[in-house]
Amino acid sequence: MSYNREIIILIAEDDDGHAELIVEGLRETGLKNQIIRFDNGSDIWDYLVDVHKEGGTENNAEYLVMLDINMPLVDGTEVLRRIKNRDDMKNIPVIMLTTTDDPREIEKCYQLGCNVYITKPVEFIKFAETLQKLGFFLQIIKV
Amino acid sequence: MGYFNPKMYTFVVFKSLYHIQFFGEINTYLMSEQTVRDFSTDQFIETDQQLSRLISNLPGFVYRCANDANWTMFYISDVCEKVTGYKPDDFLYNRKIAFNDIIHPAYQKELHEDWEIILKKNKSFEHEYKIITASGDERWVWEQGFGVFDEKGKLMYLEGFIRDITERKTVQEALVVSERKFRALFNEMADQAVLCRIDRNEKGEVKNTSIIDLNESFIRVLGIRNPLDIIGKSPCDVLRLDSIPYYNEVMQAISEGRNLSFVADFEPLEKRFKVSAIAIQQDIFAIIASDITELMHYNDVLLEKNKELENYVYVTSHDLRSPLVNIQGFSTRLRKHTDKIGELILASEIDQTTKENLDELIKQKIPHTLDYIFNSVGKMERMLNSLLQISRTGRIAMNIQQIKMYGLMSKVIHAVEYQLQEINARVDIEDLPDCYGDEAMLNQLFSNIITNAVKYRDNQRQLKISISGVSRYKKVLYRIMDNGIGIPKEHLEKIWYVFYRVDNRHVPGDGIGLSVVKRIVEKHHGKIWVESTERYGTTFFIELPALNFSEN
Repeated sequence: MSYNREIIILIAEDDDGHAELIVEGLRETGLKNQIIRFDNGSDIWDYLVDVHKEGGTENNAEYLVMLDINMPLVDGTEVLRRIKNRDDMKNIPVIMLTTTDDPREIEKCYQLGCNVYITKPVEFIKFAETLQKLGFFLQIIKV
Repeated sequence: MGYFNPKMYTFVVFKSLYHIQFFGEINTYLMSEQTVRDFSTDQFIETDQQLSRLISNLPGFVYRCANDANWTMFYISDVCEKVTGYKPDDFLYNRKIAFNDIIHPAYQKELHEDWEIILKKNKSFEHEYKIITASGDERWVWEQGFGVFDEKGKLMYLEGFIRDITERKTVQEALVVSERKFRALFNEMADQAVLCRIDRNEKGEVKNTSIIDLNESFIRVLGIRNPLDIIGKSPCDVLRLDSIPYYNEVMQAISEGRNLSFVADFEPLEKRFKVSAIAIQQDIFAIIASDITELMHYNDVLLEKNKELENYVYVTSHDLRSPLVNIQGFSTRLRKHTDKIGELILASEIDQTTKENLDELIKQKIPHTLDYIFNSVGKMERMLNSLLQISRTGRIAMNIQQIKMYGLMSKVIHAVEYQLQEINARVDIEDLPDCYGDEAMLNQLFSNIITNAVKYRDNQRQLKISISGVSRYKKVLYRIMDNGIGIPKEHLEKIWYVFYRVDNRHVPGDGIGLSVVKRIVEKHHGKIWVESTERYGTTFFIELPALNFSEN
């Protein structure tokens, strides 16, 4: 039995192209997990709150969250802050996905408790490699 | 001495000396009237010699003359030659020249009038005037004299003492000129200036300070109605402040004879001043304040604009990266899809000609097109990264500390040592003065310059880089000189521009090295300039603070 299937990947990314490339990239690494994409921070937060009602999560599912930083309504760092401030969510692994490699931004995300910070590289091969490592990472965190 | 019998005049001369005794330098020669009266006739003989010695040792000459238009001389002592250039005999009975003739024409009338008044009131005469010496020079003299009357009250003659005061007068005149210059500057300067004195208690501690002088600008800016009332008051009272900013620091500095500058807000006027406290002499100092309110305002605006611009650059380059990710990502997918189509065509049953046509498209034309896209995306990304790097240099908070420059420079050189060895370059570092700044930034600054020296070396000769530095008042000036290909004159100004490259064909680079260098220097309130001769080499001059400073 594969552990992978039990993790639902939530992606918040306002750029359709980026979202498609990320999903595609993850699929290419062989990941079969359910992936749900949101195009703003507000929707992904509502979803998370909804599935964390009354203690445990719906269907006992595990989640992994990928957040873009610059998003409309609620931005990625705010979603990250909210997740890490709630006892029932703080163990959810959060991966920040952004186009900036500003050291201060990275520092801020790690301070808020993000688990991985990935700069979206323009070079797609590198991006695919990163996503592949990420797929590997997703398996490890389950074990 | 032909016309002079000392015995006859002794008493008279002594009397005249007595009259002029207040004149400091001759005090040692003075005798009281009592002493003079005590002289017996016998003693007179002996005293004659002493007397002539005494007279010749005076710092001037004594005279006895008639109260006439010529001041006809009956007696005039030897020293007159030193002062006037004429021998005593020349004046006696106007033999060669009348004394009146050596008096500067501007004073002749004045002296006669003065004497007239003096004689009427039986007072002593005192005057400073100019004479013209035998050699034609003008000299200043000081004279004191009085009239000698007989028992019936009839004037017999005048006698007195004249000394050369040219030196004192010159100093005095210089002083007057200097004072006048000082007054003019002091009062006409746009800055506000006050002179203050520190008053101390018995223990030498500062008791208070009081204003001893103030200029027009100070009076005007503070709206002082009665400037004289201000003299003697403490600056606190005058400025209507409970406490004066940097008061203790100023006291400390002035007590140590140091100057001190600072910027302070003056709330009653809602103004900001740059204030300099200048030690003049023991416990006397000047405070000079320049109103920099407007300057600071523009400075703030400029800083704000600069920040805005940096943010703009940052956001733009950041946002532009987003579509670039898509162009690159989807182009990659396009390549994958094309490859797949190629495979499908190979397996399909399309006629040979069509297959060849499709093959050309898939194997050559589409990849060729995609190569252009990838190259352009790569280039654009490098440029955006450069812009981000520059805006980051501006935005990043500095960690200012003392920099051991020799150590830092060694580190910079060490980092490129392999490269330097490979091209057999020679680097000479002189002992370098230390400066203040952000170590990481300065490392980058010097790295970029050294890297440029390596990049733009002349392959025909061994690369030589020499690094030196000198301390200059509150600043340190570093010099990095290479013998590279140099920069053509027409490019010199543009080398600091972002993405500007003198020759982008032969040397790899992104064209931001010197832009970053300039940003770093600016962040340090420093200066950078370059001198270069094409084919001979380039020298960069970098001026950095020698003292601690704050970022803004």
